[in-house]
Amino acid sequence: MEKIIEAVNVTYIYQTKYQKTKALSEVNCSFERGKMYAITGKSGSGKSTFLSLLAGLDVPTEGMLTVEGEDMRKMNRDAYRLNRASVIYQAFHLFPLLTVMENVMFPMELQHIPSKVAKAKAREYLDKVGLPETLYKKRPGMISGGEQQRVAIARAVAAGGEILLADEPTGNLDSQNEKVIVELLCKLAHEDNYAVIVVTHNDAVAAAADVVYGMTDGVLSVVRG
Amino acid sequence: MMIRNSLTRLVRTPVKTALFFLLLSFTVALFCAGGSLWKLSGDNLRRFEEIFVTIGTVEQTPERTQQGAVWYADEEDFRYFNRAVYGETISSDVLDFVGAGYLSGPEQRAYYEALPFNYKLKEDNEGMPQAMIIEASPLEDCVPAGPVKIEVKRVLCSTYPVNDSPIYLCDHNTRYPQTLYADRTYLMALADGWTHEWEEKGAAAIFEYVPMDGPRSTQTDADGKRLPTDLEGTWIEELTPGFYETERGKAWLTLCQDFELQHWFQTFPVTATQDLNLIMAFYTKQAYLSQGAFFSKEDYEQGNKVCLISDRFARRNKLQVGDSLHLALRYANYAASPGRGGGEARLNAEGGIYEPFEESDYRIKGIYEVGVGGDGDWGYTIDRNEVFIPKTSIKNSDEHNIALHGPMKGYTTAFRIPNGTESMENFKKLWEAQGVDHVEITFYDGGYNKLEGGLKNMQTMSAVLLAVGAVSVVCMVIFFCHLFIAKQKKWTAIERCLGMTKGQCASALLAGVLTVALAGSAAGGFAGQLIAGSAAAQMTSTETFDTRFSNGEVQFNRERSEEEAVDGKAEGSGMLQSAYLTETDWRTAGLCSSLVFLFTVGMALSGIYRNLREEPLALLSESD
Repeated sequence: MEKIIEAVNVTYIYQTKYQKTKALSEVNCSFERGKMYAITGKSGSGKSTFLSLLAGLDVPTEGMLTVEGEDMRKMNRDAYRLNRASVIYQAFHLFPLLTVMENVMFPMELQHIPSKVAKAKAREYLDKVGLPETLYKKRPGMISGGEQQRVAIARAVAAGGEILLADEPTGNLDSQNEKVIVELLCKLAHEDNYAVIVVTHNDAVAAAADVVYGMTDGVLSVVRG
Repeated sequence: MMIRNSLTRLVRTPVKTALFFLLLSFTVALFCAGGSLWKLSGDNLRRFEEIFVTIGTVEQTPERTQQGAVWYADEEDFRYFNRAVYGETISSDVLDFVGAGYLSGPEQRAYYEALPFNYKLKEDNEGMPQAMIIEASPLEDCVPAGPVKIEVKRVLCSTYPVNDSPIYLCDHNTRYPQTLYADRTYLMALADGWTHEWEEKGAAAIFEYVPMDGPRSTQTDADGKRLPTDLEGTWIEELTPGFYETERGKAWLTLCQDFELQHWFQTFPVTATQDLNLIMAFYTKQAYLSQGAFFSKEDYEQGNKVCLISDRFARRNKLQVGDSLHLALRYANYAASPGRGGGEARLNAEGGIYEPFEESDYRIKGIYEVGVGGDGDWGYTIDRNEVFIPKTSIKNSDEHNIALHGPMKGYTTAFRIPNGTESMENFKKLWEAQGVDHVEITFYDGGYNKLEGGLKNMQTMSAVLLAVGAVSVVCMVIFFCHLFIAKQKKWTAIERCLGMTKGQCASALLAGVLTVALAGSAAGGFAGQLIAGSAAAQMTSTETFDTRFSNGEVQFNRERSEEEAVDGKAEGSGMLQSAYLTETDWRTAGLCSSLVFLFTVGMALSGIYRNLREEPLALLSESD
């Protein structure tokens, strides 16, 4: 399998006016396409910070994070998020004023894909995540949590990337929806060749992952590889 | 796409958007209306400041009054009158004190007698008072307590030829006249007298000549002190051999010379002033310019030889603006105005005639007309041939040619100060501190105080409106920037996570807010302008003022059509509402709206900056 992201001695320090906090300490790991990874750990252990670095929203204080060998510091990280990496969240974070369809079309419009094409693709992705067409014109507030998370996944993959980052994607879902989402994530990794990296507390999600990392006080270790 | 998304957001929150638009429009309207009215009232204040004039007239008040009596021979009784008794003459120098802030003056004006040359000063059919100096003897010894016959032996000078002799003489105002002897010859100064019904009292004459002043001098020095003289104005002298060789005799001959020099009272007065506004007839617009121009600041400062003449004087002498007028100024009278009339004697203290001390050509700069009305006190009215010149155009000193000096009078002494209550109160306070008694100052401001009060109230109200509008706008913009920007942190974070650059996120936020802000500012600015315009129109319909006491009348008349000006005159009101500026300035509303818009941009950018500083994933990791 091909490595897509590699972290080498990644350290991240939060610096405020009064104090410095080491959130990540010499993290070394790599992620490959076609696999699903789970990062587990307690709250405040540094999982979300690591995910933030993987999403290119910030850069390591020390060490290096590369995407297919390219140093993330030197990359256009906005373009990286737009074209290659997508994030889904526990609270779904869909645009509340846009319809389901518009939410999914949003990243494609950012990529200047013509509206008609974007709409067709959005239908395809929404269909793929199993959302009925009757909901396409509804706003996120009018559909259930599981449906919202499916829309979020459809929006994430609509950008056509290769890395899917998920922050507690099942945290707000019941067990039935949780199962559906985990299956979807696995399918994206195994069938669509995504590198799926999931930060989770959930054992079922971790169990479905191909590789499980544990994070304790900013130190990453392999739990199951 | 950014703009479309931004607008979509607005459209999908119609209540919030409409509320933002309406409240912003309302507060901007308040702000703009306040701004426009504030500017308008400021402009009006400045305009009225320019067109109104505040002057003070100064009068030395008498210390007491005294009863006087004049004998009337025909009535065989005294007529009584009260006359003012002044203390020592107070110099106008008392008005020179620090902080007075004069714009012009103070001046105690003189009018100068100018020689007539060949100027025509009266209409052809107008007569002149008869005056003559003759040698005469009574037909019999007599006391001229009533009409007595005298034979004219020689006419030294006379307005008209004396064809009749004998004539009747009556020393009309002397209770016990001196006895005249038939065998003696007397030198007499006589004027035509009254027609009295003497016949009822058994006398023959109904027309008589009466005494007038003989050689007399009232000359003073520059400080107004009378110069010593032997000339007391006796109307009759007994003619003795060699009399004309004596000093007194020479003075009589000089008086004859003077009468001829001045063409028998046909001189014209020339008033020299520092500011025409100080002359009540011009101040009240009783006298107004019909042709040419008033004196300019430069004329006053540089002492240009320019003058203003009356339309009648111009017509009689076929003079026009730009023509030259030859002025030979003989003597000054500081005690009266030409309208009030003389009082000065015609000879100097040494019994000589006053030689012109200033003689030159003046260019006629303007021609004035004198309308009806005025103050009623003829001291303030203009003499019919009166010529006005800038004070500084007189280059030579008149100190040896002052024929009369007297206490300051409202019609001789005035000054100009800046308009407004503050200026007047300040002056009064400083004046009182001088501790000068028996001097009364009267201010004329043409109602400026009242007007200023109204406009200042309006300005204060406008400022309150402006402040309330500004505070409301600030609150509104902050509130809505909070709703549309600060509360959209998560939206921005999602956009960032989806790969939008910070610039794109900023554009997406700004576009919507600024669209509403622009529309709200424009609509509010427009509404504010309409409100201000309506308030200004309302103000004009309820406020009127009298421009007669301003120097704006002529200017307004020029601004209006001739027909309107005639109507205005016919009404005789001088109430010109057109003086009010009622057009609100669109630029003010534009400026206010722009300020609001710029403030919104600033607040929005500041909110966006704060949004973009937030860590997106940290924000989005928080569960809702």
